[in-house]
Amino acid sequence: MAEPILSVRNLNLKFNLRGQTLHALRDVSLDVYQGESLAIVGESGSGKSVLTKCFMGLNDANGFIESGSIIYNGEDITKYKKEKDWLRIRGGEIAMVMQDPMTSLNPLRTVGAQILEAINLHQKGLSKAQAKTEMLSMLASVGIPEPEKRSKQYPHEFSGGMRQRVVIAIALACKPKILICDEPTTALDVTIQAQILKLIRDLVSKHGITAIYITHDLGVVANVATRIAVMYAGDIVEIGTSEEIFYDPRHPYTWALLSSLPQLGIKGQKLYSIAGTQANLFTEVKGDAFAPRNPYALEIDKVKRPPNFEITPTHMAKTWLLDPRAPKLEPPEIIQKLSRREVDLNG
Amino acid sequence: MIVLDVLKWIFVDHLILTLVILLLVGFVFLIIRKHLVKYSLKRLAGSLLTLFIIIAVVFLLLRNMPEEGFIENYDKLSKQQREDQLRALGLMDPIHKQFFNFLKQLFVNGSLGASTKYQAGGDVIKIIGDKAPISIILGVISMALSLVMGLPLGAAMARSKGKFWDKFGTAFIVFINAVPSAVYYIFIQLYGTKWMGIDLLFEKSNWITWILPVFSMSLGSAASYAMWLRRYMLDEINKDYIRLARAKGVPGRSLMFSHVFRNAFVPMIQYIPASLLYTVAGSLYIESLYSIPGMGGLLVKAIGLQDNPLVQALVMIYSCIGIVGLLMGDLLMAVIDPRINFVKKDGVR
Repeated sequence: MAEPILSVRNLNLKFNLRGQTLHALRDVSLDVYQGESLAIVGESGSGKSVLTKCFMGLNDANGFIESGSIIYNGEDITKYKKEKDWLRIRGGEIAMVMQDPMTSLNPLRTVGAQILEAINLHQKGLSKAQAKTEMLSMLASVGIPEPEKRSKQYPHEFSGGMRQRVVIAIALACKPKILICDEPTTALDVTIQAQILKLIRDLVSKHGITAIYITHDLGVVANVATRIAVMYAGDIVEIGTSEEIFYDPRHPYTWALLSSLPQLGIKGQKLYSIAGTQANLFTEVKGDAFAPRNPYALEIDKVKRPPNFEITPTHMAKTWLLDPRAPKLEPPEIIQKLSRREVDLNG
Repeated sequence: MIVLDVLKWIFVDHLILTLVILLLVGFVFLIIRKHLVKYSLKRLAGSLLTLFIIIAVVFLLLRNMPEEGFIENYDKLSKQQREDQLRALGLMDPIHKQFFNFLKQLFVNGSLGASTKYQAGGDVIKIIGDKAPISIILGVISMALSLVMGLPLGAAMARSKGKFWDKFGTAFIVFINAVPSAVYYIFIQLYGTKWMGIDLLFEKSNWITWILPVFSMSLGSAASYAMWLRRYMLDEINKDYIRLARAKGVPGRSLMFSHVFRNAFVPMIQYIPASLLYTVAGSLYIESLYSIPGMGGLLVKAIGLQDNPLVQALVMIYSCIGIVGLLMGDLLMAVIDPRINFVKKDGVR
């Protein structure tokens, strides 16, 4: 694999909330490689959005990075204080597609004007006519018919899927090196989801952009990702190629996530769901954050946080089950079936 | 030379008229360009109907006032003389005939009747026409000033929420709303005139005496503009499209102006035509403090004197202004906000 384009080391991020401190990212380390499609999965509140917002300095003002570094282009961007620094990153280096296309466009400006704004900010030196041509070709490339006419319309005249195409066009008009897609299909109709994912996947590979998908939908992940990071309670608990995560998962949380996929459930049986609630990040977590919900938890999980165990050079998981001294455990039935490829993810 | 004369006629002698016509032409142009003609005509028809109903109601109510309001020197006349006068004025006719006559007078002669007490026999429209301009000019200037003060304050408050400018602005707004305006009006007059070394009273030809009344008048609306703009801007700042704009690299300053301020101003723009037109009514208290010969208090005086034709004319004019203001506000919104669609039913935003 190529050199990392972005590399996060031991990142700790906290939020001040009404006098309390929320430890949102707990010692996260992650490498993003040039040209890959990385998916970050995890349940709501696991910190996946917060992590990617750190790359662009978009976290709310009450959040602060306590320690750690994010190296991009040889610079530690956690040191950025001024808006001027961030403006070098935002859009031009890293762009974003957000979750809800219904609200992520300015309702009072034409779609064309909003794309033009991005072009004028990031493709300097274009004449007015050139910028307009670029805008129209952008609209056409995201699959919007009659770009000339549509560019003069306002967001409310577009359907949800069409608006998400516009949002994608805005992101690509910035000519980014990394594209962060924050749950790009969650708010869309199921029939549209596949189209939008395919569009993003095609455009990303055409322009050689590194993509980071944030999602809690493993179906999305199976479609687009070459590598998967599983997040739980502000940390990456398992990371590997999508092959490794889907067919050889090692962390009990990943097992639980996969077991709760509807397409893997057995007809007539109750769908698996993970018991309990996520760890309270307002208090300091002791041991493994997943231990209280983990039926396979060992005694040591309650006391000591597991380190990263390397399974292959690309596959790592944070669970004591991988320690040589740990008892040998069989993963749940569904996971074994998955490993033997007896069930199909696309169900 | 003829060109000069025409220019003088347009820009010097009839400045207000020219401005009003220019504004209306611009308005009509925008309405046609945005394909809002049908919507506008519908709204206009609705407003005309409302106006007619209001005129009818005001007319009927004033017909039920004691009859001394319609006759000069009522006390000195005998019963027969009074009846003769009432008959001569057409007030003994059946009510529908009176109303029809009133409308005929209004539309054919452009007359709203003659004053009976305030300026016995004087044409009501002339009485109002003499007093309105100074109130309008003062009102328009003070409104412009309040926008100039209120909008930047509101924007600064929204930008620095919880910090110095926000606290300063909140203190200002609370002060203006909590302290009765009469109190700070007097303070401004007393200390302002002393500090600037000018006369207590207003003088039309001396511009320096315009400053304090205009300033006093603008404080109240400046506070409310600041309050509403802050609120609307904070609403906008937390919306997703602002986050997306930030993520695509729009710098803070242009983000605030071209996205947040622009969108926050739209809900406020609806009320501007109405408040502009209401300046005709003048400010009762400020006009009496500085003895400005304006409209302020004319209605109160007319009611006190029981000058029924004058009261009737004033009430009708104020209702007209209110309705026209609301209509223009709605149309302005429709021109500016693309989401208002003439195909849909009214009121959908």
